[in-house]
Amino acid sequence: MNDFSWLLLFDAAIRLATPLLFAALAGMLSERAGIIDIGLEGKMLVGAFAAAAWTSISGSVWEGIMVAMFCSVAFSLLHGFACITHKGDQVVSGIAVNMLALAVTSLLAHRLFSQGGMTPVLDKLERLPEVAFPQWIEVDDTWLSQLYWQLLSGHNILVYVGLLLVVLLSLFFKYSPYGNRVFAAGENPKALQRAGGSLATTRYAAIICGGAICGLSGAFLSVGHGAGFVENMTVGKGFIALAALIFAKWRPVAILFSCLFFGLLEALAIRLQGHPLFKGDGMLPIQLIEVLPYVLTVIVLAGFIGPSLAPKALGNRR
Amino acid sequence: MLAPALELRHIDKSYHAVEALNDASISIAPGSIHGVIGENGAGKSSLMQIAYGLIQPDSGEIFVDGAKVELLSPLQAIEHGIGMLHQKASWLEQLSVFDNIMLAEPVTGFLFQQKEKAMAKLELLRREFGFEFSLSVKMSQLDYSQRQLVDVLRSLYRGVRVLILDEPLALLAPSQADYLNNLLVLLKIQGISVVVVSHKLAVLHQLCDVITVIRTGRVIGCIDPHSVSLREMSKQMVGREINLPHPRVEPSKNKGKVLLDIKGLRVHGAKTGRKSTTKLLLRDINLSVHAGEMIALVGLPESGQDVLLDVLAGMVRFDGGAIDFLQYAIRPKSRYKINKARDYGIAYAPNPNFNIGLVDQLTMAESVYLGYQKQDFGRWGLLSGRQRHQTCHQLMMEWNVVPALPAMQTGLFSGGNQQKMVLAREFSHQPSLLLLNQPTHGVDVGAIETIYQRLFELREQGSSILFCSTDLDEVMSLADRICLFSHGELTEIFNAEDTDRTRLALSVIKEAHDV
Repeated sequence: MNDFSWLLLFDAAIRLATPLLFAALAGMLSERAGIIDIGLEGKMLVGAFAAAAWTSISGSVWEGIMVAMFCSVAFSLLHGFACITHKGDQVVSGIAVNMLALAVTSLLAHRLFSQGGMTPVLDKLERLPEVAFPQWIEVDDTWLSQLYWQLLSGHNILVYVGLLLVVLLSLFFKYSPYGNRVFAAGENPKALQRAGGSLATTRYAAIICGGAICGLSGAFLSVGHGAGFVENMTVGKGFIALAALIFAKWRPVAILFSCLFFGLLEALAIRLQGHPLFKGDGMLPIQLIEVLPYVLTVIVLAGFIGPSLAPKALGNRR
Repeated sequence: MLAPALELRHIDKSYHAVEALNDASISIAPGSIHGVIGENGAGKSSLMQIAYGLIQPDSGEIFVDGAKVELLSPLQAIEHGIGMLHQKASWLEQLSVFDNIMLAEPVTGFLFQQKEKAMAKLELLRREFGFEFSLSVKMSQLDYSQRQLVDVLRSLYRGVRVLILDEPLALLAPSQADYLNNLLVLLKIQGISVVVVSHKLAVLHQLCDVITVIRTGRVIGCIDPHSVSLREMSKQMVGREINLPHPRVEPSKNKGKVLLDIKGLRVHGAKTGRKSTTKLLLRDINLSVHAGEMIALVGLPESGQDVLLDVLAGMVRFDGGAIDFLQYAIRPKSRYKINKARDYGIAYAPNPNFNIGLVDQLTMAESVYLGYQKQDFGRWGLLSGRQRHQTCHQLMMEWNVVPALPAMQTGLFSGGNQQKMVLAREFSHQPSLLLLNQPTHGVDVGAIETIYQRLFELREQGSSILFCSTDLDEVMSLADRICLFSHGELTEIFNAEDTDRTRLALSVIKEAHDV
């Protein structure tokens, strides 16, 4: 295991955790307000497609990201219309969002680009630029420098936006009156209504912000980390984000760590592929490694976090 | 003559063909204390909720200070100076008092600036009205009556001019009587009108300037309590003679063998936060209960009497001591839960304030099953819809629950009717030990009479009854023995015949100061 670099592994973990982080934070906003967000997966997919498609047409990645957020919000509103305005079942509506998103993105990808469901590959200029940190520390072999240059610097801008969001959202829930209102909407809607607040307005506001953040998650996949959209490219990441959210008990800073943990598992799965684990020819079959994050998710969710502390009125229709 | 501060004219409201209000009108004079009385389900709460914009009337008009307004949401009601204190709990216990008050306050200007201003204003109001809680403590640290005062404080902060108190039970408790009096006087000085909805006729008779009577959705009339006797008032409300205070139930004659024996019972409180200091919720309780005996547990709120009921019902685990019930030995480690309690023949009607006796979303027919689904109704392990419907309907007729519709959602019934159904459920299984927490909270005087009668019958059949009540009149008319609780200890046991209401009230209050 000489060429096995922990630094590179963690570097990959951060990159893989970022889309989970955005999605989980989006889910947190919506679920804190009492709206179950099964549709994270679908909204991510929509965001990914919209970002890649718009960028390849217009050539501007920033516009692409805006459009991704906009489209994801549109799907959020669809969910909201069903389960806030018409008090429908939140899980059913969320599943509908997922199915619709998968179908719409595939259809549009096939029709618009005729590349077998993919968008054209974006070249480097059309993707999100990497942010290089200032030269505060010299590039050399010390661990500090390695840490600074390899692990912290050089990610694309959304990674840092994600970290900033964690801070902002924790402050939001801790200190802002709006945060209390969102909390009330998910915990005790009656108290909010009797105090003179509007449940519908609060919940709509929460899912709109959630939708925008979820759009960033998709955009990161297609124009940040990747170089274009591929059919069903989220492959369950939305659900893993949901797991990370539950794992973190709906708290922003804990979400950061749980997403990093799931990102690390994924990075490990990729790293271990084709890597001799034992002396001689002892290679783990790829399938076994790929299934690892999912298996661990089940184990972790089942046993290690104690009772989940969901918002009390989660799924409540009134 | 000044225009009324709040006036509702010709209000009609029905829920799914059930008529709640029919041409109801009420007019609240500025600076007056206005009582509203009526039987359970008469429509008092509906009328008040219309005044607060929580529900919209089918027809009718609302006037504030003589000007016609439309109240489509609580926010609009608040803007017109109407505030309300609700019958059932709904606060955010995890947030501070301040955050609860400011929950839906519109945000203006810079955040911290607003917070400081609001803090100062609230602090001023708090002092002025003599509320004893601090604004920065968590809601969960306050007791029930203080939490209700938080709602009052919020209304004051918003410049309330008409304050509606819908069954403010905790405030009407005897230990709070003086306090409420002072509060009402202070409100009156400020020109704030207060509407009090309650079943505590005696209290209203004393406090109010005028009382409106509602019967089955219609306003029967207004009473001037200074010229009408309490007895006449209750007759107007129910439509028949009621003896008030309720006459004393005959003391138990056939005291049987010991049914329940509690020795050295001890309950630790939950660990609070990181500090591992535990408060003893109950310490060293010894009590034997004979068959055919009715025992009242009294004390100030949170003195441990509720905990004892919860322990006996299997809702709370105990940490030391022994409970012997019939042939069953219950020990701290014996996995005693509420389903066991039911198997043993112990029935429990929890405190109606906490809304845990029924499930709002179920139909009443389904709610009436809860807890007994294994014992009754099962055929091949299936629940029979028709049988359940019939049983429920029968209970509704017996207990005079209106509307008698088993298929109606539980949450749509009025508070008093929900409580009647909880009692109906627990009574219908002929328990050998019946545990009741505030059995008649929110229940009207007519229904209370029936409940007392049934309790009496049950006791005559040899069952024992343990109940908590803050209503000392109730305690005096029901109990054979009275246990006085203070700070988790059973300090004294009276024979009901050897004491009277005044002495009891004094003992309760005295315990509070002897710390």
